[in-house]
Amino acid sequence: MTSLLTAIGQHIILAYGGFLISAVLGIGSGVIALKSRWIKVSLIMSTSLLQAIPAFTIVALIVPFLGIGFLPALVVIVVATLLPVVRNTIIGLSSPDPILIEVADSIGMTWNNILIRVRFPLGIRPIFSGLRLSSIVANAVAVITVFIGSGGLGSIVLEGLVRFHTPGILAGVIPAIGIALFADVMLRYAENRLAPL
Amino acid sequence: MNLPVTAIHHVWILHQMTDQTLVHLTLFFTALLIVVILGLSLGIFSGISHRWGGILIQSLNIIEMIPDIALLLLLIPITGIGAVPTITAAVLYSLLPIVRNTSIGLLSVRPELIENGTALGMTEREILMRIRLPLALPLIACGMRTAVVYTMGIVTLGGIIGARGLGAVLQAGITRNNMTVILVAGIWIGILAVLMDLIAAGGERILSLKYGDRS
Repeated sequence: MTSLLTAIGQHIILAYGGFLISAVLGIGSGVIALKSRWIKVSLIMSTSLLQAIPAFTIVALIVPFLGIGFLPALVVIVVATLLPVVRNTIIGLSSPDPILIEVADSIGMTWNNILIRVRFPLGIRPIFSGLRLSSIVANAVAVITVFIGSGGLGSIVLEGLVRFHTPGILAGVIPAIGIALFADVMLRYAENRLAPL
Repeated sequence: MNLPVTAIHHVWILHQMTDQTLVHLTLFFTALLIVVILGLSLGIFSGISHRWGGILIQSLNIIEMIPDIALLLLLIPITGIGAVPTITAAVLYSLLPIVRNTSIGLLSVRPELIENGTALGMTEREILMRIRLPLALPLIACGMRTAVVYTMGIVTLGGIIGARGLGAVLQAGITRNNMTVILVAGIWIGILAVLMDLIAAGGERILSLKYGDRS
């Protein structure tokens, strides 16, 4: 039974490590996109194209470039989860009424102040809906990355699949579902705490 | 330049990729057809009946939270392996965007427009068919685009549970550690997926120009 616990541990580190990296990168690039219309348009264009590519394909295509193991798997998770965060951050940060931004500007708030006190609080719902989608995708992709040797719950699933042993598959799949649900509940809680209304 | 072309040709023939592409697209379009028909009917139903519609969308939300690969594998004990669980998982997973967008689209039509219809003596049914549904089309098309992406993802994943298709080629490439196979199959799936998405995006754009409520 210890192997199941180890697998759960590896799975959480892989999935949510990747998720955290892509949350930081995604929100960061969403902020940068505010600075220039050109960056914004190209980010949205490229993310919507990349979003169409199946996760399993990204998992496979990383192998010729980075090989197999934990690190390539982590990169795959970041790539696959980055897109909803970036797009929703852009949508969220540009959602406040331009009049509100102008008002904030006219009372002497700096760009950073407006970002932190006006744009982020008002954009929190779209940003979090992107984060929640990402956390579900991260969890799913972390199971698939077992095919490139990431370990974790996927290895239990794969073992069950190879032996055609249904309880074996369930032993890997059920914890993964539980973790996904738990992460979603936590993110929803954080969203409700951070939302201004 | 000669070498890569020969290598790609070799991989293509060896893994019967013309055949596998056809299988892949058949799986994809079968699932998509079922999703669209089922999704539209369930969406219209939940746009009309508030209580049951809410319950339906909530349960679809829960399915959505299950990792796609887990959903696929959980179906194996029920349906066996191959095309059936793949199509079932694709349908279950892609229903939510269509049902939700159809229902929101029907419910978010401006009340004045519905009143206009009533004033003209239209029945409930006529209001649905001639006012609410056409105005909901852009949002429905947006849901369908998401469904296209989800379905493509699950059909590709179906390769690991014996559904054939291009996902199976990709998996063969990974297990044999054959970079050429991975690159050829992976890039080809990527091109197909982006193409399908672009077609769906085009449809969405046309519908929203034609039926979008601009006011």
